[in-house]
Amino acid sequence: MSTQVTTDFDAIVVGSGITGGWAAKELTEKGLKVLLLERGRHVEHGRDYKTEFKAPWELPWRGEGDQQLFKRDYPIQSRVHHLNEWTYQHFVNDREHPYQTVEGKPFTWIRGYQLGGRSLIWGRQTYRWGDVDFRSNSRDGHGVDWPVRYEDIAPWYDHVEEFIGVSGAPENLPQLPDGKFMPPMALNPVEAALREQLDRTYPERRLTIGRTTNITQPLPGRSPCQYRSICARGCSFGAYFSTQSSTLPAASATGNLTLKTNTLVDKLLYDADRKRITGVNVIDTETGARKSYSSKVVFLCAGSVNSVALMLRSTSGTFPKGLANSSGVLGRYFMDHASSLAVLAQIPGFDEHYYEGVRPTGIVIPRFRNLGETPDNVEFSRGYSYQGGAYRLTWNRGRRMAGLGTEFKNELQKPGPWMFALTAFAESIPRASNRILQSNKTDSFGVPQVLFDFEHGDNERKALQEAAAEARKMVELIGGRVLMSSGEPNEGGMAIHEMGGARMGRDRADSVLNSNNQAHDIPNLFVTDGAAMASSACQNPSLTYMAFTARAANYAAELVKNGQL
Amino acid sequence: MMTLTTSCQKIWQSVEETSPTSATLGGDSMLETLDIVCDLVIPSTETPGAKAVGVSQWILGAVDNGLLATSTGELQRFAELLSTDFPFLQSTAAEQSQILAAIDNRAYIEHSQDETSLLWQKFKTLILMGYYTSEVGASQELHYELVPGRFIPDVEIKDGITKAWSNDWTAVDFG
Repeated sequence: MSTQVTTDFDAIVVGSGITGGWAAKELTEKGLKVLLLERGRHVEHGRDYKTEFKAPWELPWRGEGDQQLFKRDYPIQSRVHHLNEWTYQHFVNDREHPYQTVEGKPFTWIRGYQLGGRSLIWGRQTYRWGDVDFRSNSRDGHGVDWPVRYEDIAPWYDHVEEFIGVSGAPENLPQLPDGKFMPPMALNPVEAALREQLDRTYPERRLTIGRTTNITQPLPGRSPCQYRSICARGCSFGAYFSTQSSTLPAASATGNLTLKTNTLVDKLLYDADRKRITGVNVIDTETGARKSYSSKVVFLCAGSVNSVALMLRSTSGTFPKGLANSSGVLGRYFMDHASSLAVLAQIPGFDEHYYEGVRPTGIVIPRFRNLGETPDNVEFSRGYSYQGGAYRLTWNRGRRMAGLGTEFKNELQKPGPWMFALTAFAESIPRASNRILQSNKTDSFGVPQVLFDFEHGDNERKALQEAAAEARKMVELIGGRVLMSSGEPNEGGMAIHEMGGARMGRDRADSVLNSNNQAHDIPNLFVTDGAAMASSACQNPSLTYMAFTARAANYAAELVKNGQL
Repeated sequence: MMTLTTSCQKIWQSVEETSPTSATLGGDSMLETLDIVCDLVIPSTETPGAKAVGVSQWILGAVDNGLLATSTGELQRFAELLSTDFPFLQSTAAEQSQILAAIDNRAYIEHSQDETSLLWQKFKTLILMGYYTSEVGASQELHYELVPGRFIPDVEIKDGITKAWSNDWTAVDFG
């Protein structure tokens, strides 16, 4: 049957965050009429960043926020230090957006329900995954083999980096491939000293400036970074990548984009005869009104957990266990990096050195474990990497100092001692037992709440233990006095790198998506956010999501234009 | 730290329930006490000190809102403890300075865990927060520059005249 079906749009994109913006941009630029759906409110670039230029003394709670409000409405979101009086409006209200966890397995789910999603508040660290990452599952047998290799995704990394702007230093490391970089931000003298010591003592360990989408050269409509490091308030300079600063203007400029905010997708509609998604049912979150939209293709970009949850609740006679779930693995192999403060150390000397400006990125020490043909002599598989940096303490150190009066005040006026902090991120092993489920409770829209069943495993713990020990050794190379060091993983979710649940794979029997992020079961359904990941690597994943999204969107656009979808 | 705060909260919850509000420590007396303590910690020098920039008033609001898991009851309790040996407000300036110096010493040098020390750590922190986030504290006493427009990684500090940046958020957040 090749009956031409009339649809409202060529494509519907669910979610307007990092990947949704990319899907909308690529699809509209290929000439498709796109409906971009966002459950949260509209946030206009610049105009709606209402706290951006406020000094602490211009806010009622000096930046600390209304504690009673935070306790009532943001008890979970406020666990991350990005949330404060300037930024909390870019995080979800926990009271209005509840979720469940399995007893004894806490999970912190950090979200931003607004136009731009978490692209407004993300950490902006931008790393390619290496060939070793796309081969990891096949090498040690955890998870299923990726259906792609580095060379498949490399041109799409180029494509994304050139558009979003990434500052960073080339280092020629296969495990952290170089990209299309703008000039790097500089290392401060203490970081430079550690880099030098590492080169000398551990040639396989490299300290380099964090690669970030804070740009150092102008791009169309965007100014270079102003070195404020207050990104999560929203940046009217457009100096970091967000949907608002980057992909949304591009998509809008095509004239092919329809954007609807305050629109929650309740269900995907499946036509069993045509074996196609026909569209979506939505709820207007302000009025509660229900409506449907149809399209030829649907892109799920709602964030790993919400994309999986939407598939889980879109059941039908064909798919009683969740949409496109003939494999039964939907929701499983869910991951989040295990992270810990590997070391916080005071660094002696460098008293005459300070910096000017507030750099919005730290440093990275890429993975150096288990990179060879044979595994290293360690008790864990895969690896970990560090992010952090050196800085001088400021007035805040007075909280732990004895002293009163003029002498105390004069002391606090000066920059304090140098500190070096290194946070370790260990690769999360894909496990069937770590999963996203539906709870039997619903939210205020009648939509089932997400239930998390997740915990870090022994491999992650062993990796972090070693990471902490190695971090202590490294800072000691520059005389660091260790103040804190932990190899215990933070609670699940705290890395805010949730991935998997609708993994890619070669075999439709044990994966949800093929090598083009296309559902094995349903050719016009694409999932291109973190849900698609088959492994986690140990570097920040957003760039990889963007590259996969752009690649899948171009593939889907061709199919639509050829009349195959 | 978390455990400490939690146990503190429990202790003071019971104190709040049992101790009647002392009339001498309500309203103006509390403000007067705080003003004295504020200026003992951060006096006026070339820049105005904590009392002059209204830190006491800010603390009353912050405590009422529960910042650092404090409460008005805790603040009143601390004010009572200041007067353990002799009414703090009736003491001479020199005596007040000695009383607070002894408490500060116990809390930060001896690392005592007694209730006065634990409360003092909280209120000293609040005084610092109130002062260094005020316009004077952040932008006159320290250096505040919202839009630096530059990152210079290595600047020489000349004879101690370089002020710390109050808006170095990395330093503020990590402490």
